[in-house]
Amino acid sequence: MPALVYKVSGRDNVGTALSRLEEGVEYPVYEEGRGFVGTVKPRVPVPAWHKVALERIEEGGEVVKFGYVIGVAVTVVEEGDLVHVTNVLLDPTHDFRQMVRQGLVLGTSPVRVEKGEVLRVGANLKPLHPALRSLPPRARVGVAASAIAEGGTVRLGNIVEPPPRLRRNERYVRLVRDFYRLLRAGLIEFARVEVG
Amino acid sequence: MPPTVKAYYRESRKVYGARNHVLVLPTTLCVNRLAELIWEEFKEERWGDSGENRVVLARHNSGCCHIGFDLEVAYRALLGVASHPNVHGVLLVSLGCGQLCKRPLAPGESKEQNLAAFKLYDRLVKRGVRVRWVNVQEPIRGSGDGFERAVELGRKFVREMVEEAQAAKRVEAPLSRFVIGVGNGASDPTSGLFANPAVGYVVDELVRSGASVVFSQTTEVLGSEEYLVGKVADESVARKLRRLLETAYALKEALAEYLGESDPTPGNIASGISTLAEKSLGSILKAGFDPAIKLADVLPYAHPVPRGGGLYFMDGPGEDVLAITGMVAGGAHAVIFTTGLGTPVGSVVSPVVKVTANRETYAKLSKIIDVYVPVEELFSSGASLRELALRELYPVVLEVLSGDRLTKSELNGQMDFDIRSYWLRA
Repeated sequence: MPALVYKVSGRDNVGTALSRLEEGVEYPVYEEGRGFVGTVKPRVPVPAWHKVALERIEEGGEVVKFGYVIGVAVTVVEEGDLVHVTNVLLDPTHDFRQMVRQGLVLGTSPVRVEKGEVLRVGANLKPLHPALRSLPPRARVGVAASAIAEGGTVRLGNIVEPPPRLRRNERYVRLVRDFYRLLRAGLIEFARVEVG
Repeated sequence: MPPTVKAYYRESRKVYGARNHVLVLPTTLCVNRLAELIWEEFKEERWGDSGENRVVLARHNSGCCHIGFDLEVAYRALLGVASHPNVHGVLLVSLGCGQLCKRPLAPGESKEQNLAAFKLYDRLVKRGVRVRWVNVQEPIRGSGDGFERAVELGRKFVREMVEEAQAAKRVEAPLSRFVIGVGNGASDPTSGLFANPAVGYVVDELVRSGASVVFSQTTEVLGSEEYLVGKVADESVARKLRRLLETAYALKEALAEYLGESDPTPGNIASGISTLAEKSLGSILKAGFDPAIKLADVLPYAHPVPRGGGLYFMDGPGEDVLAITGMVAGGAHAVIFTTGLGTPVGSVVSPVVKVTANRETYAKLSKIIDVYVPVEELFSSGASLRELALRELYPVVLEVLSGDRLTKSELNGQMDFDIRSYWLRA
């Protein structure tokens, strides 16, 4: 295979090395359907069939190949970096299995919560989802859409009105976006709300 | 003008066959050898313009001591392959005490009293399939040993059907009456990057031309839910898909302890795959790119695939022969199968077109691989992968359906057939 980097889709921010690439040498980038679209200079040697970053990816940013998200960067990835298990993980918010099984679990409730009651971190909500872990104690997460039993799970689906602070949280926004996309597609159902 | 191919029309079943085989089908594994003895007399015979038709033998390991819905699955698969459009006629070879084709009627016994005995045979007759039946435990008129008489009688039946099949001629048939399966196995990095996407472009084209396309291998789609979500437009399809994926995840979790490997596997990681999503996207892109083509239905293993167009997803294991058997029992006239490292896999009644994008593999194993996608042309001539796929692979699929070209799997006599089972046998 020629010494170049193959980009499957225009949306991709990583490309695949078709043979081993040397550090510091400029290689052409070929994009499917468009042809040669630029060059990339690997910062480390890249083994054949491994991925190289075509642009800087921020920590927590999506890694895109085939036009789809294949994971998130767990650290800042510079253009030309090797992208592999050391710096990319399957995003926990893309844990479809959990979405499928339970609706999206945000946390558990140590006490019974009545319909309409405000859910606050550490008070009546023990956060489980990574999107909630960065919130300070007693931060308002939402309002119970119906009663939640003691020890019951708090899901997207039994709370309403997420607070403005959470709406600006990138992870949370992505979580909600994916949740509603799956919901619209019928791949998840609103979890049944336990009535105590 | 929608594309057409040349095929055998079967008036009694209103189907078109890409082949005109005569099938020898044991209804239980105990009579595999007997079925083989019957088949051996015909193994060199070929007919059709390219010699693409023959007597085929479907040896398998099912038909007895199944528990639960395994019996239903085995029944569905045997019924599916016996009534396959590519089959002119079928000889059922049974023992007499298997689960699917039992002893014949005792004198004075009515058919209703022994319904299970005839279920498979009756359904085939009702579907208008040309079918004959030999049963080892049944007393056969004439002298000599019962086993030898069964061989003799079986050969006589097959001879009759071969003569009928030889007289048939191909006629023009619309592509919309065909089902094509797609799969992948013995993969390497060229599979995910080039071969599977190339097949995806061909699949888009086939579906747009009115054909039905089915893909399977449930374990390999886990992780590509973002893609699947984009392929779902219908609530009942979504429900079925969700149930299937839930079960597959649960199964995978239950087996994790025995597999002793994470997914992606250490082998995947060594070849540059970082996450499960990346791995499964490389596999599922063979189901096509066109966002307008949605999943028409999600089907159980070996369930008939509706003809008349659309993209279908069939439950099935990742293992090549089991997955192909499921799609072929569902009525796939031909299967497109990608490979990176190379595999000889075929199927008993349907041609399997094997595709690779690995130049070395193709050079080394051209006796088992049909099509090479010349990816180096992407960078030298500026052709897109879609253009290469439609130029190199699409016409081959039509030629194979028309019988103008035999696949390597057919030339090598690969009569692979193995039915998935979910439980231990009793």
